[in-house]
Amino acid sequence: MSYNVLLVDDSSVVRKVLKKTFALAGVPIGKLVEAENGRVGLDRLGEGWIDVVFLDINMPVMNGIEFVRAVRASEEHRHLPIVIVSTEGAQDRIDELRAAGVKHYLRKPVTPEQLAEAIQEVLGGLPSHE
Amino acid sequence: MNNEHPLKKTALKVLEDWGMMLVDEVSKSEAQFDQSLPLYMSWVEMKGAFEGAVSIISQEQFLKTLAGNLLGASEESLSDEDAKDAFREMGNVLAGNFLTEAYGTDLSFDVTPPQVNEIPFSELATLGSRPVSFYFVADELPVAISFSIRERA
Repeated sequence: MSYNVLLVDDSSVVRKVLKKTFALAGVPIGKLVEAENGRVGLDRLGEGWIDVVFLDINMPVMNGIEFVRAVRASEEHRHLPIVIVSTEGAQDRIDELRAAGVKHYLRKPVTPEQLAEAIQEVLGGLPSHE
Repeated sequence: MNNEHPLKKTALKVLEDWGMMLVDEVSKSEAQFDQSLPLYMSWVEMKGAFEGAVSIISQEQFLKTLAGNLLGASEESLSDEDAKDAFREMGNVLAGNFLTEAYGTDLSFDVTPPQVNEIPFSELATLGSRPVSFYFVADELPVAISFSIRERA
């Protein structure tokens, strides 16, 4: 069993680092889909099943907060688990995101341990291999 | 009591987190930028209780070293875009962590997506006149970091 993950971050280097961090955390990835902003992220959601989204906030075109609102307004994806990976530190922003249904918040830079903990919280842990 | 400026403290932490092994604060004159090579600036603007900007200035070798450290890749295998992207993201991480370090979690700011541009050397000369600027040598590579608040009209 493995997870399909959507990474939404305008930095290709951050997306590459997160991919490595998933491997270091022992998270089995089925399909890893990338998007450079929220708008492209919404398009990617329409292309196949995604288990969890790891989302930056500060992006051009469509930022992370706008992406969360769009996903929550969608009938199909309203319950999709979203984990924020950002430098945002303001408590009211984090509260706003949690109120919008964001399951977990990670502060950049992210360690493999933090990533594993986020997966545990939003998806109930690493899938067991038969 | 620790009187270290929050920008300096954050910059040192980010440089070390991003794999720079030896980071020393130096004077402006000790930060020897090579005038025969391009100069790059990564910057982020913020708007909230005040308007301001955080910027980082360095040169190509620093950008490549940073990207290589982050990706665990040899510098030869990295593209120019990888190097600029890593530098851009460093601006983003530095600005976000600096705002929390300096102003806590009660103030929120709208922060622009980070940008990277090649800048003229004259820009480096103006950096010293900004109220908050620090110079570092990170793994023998010069880096200048500054924070400025824009006066409201």
